[in-house]
Amino acid sequence: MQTSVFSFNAPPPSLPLNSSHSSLKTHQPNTLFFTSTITNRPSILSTQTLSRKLLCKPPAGKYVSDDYLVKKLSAKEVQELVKGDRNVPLILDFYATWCGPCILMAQELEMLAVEYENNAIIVKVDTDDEYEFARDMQVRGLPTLYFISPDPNKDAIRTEGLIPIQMMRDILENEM
Amino acid sequence: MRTLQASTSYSIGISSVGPPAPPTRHRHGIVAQGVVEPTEKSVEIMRKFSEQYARKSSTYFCVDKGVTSVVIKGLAEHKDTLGAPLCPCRHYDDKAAEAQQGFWNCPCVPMRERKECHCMLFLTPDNDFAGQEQTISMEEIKETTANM
Repeated sequence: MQTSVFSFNAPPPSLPLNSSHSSLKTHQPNTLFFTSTITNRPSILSTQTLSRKLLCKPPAGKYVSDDYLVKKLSAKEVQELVKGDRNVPLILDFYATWCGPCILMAQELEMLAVEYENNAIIVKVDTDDEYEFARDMQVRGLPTLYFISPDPNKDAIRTEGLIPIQMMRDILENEM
Repeated sequence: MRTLQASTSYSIGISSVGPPAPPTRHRHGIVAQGVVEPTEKSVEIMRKFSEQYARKSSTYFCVDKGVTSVVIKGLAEHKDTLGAPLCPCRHYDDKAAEAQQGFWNCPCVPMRERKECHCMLFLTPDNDFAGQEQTISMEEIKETTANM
């Protein structure tokens, strides 16, 4: 059986970076940058009360990186997505930072996202961040994928472990 | 309800229900870009363990050493936080209890009994992803996980 071997050179998307509710704020724009409140124009030589202009908008940090198609979402966002109106299948990828196969899976999902574009929604959830959600979804082995059909009468399909991309395509084509 | 979030909780043994702690706190290792890194010492211990166990079990590392490195670091991270190298490729209700119980401590029971390692750390020669090597250096680990 021909199996694709994925190079690890692509940066792994599984960085649990700053998310809107995360405690780990690496950027606090309000404390670093502030507009001047001094009425008189500060001289070049003054250092104590020198105001700093906002040179550029600090990164929002909501996404891991804008280059990745598969976005990391919070539990709340996922729940809204599942409950909301959709006419395409939804793929949920439950992963952890230090899970090796999750890295390979993430690369496969990026490729799938490129292939399917707007014909499928693919998102990922960090199980270390969203502990309760992962527990409620009965996630055990990682990576775990949930394929959720736009048709509410169809059951969701769940896979555990690294699966070949062709299997994902088959599920999307035939089961959704 | 007690929750233990490995990457965001900085108080071991205390359930994280209050507001999040400030980002300047330090845990065991260096916080780089929001990802908590295991200590170098633990990584070295788990690296040596992996090499030795691969030899002993006649298994091989993945062709993609990045996978091996990530899992070794995951084991080291759990060793730092929990005292035992709990399998990083699983989700647990209670990590501390699992570490005590031991089923999923590396080498886990499925590995010891059936050479099944779903982390793809120890691969039997017939596995499509198995490489030829049973060694991995610290440099390789650092290189392949540098952009995490």
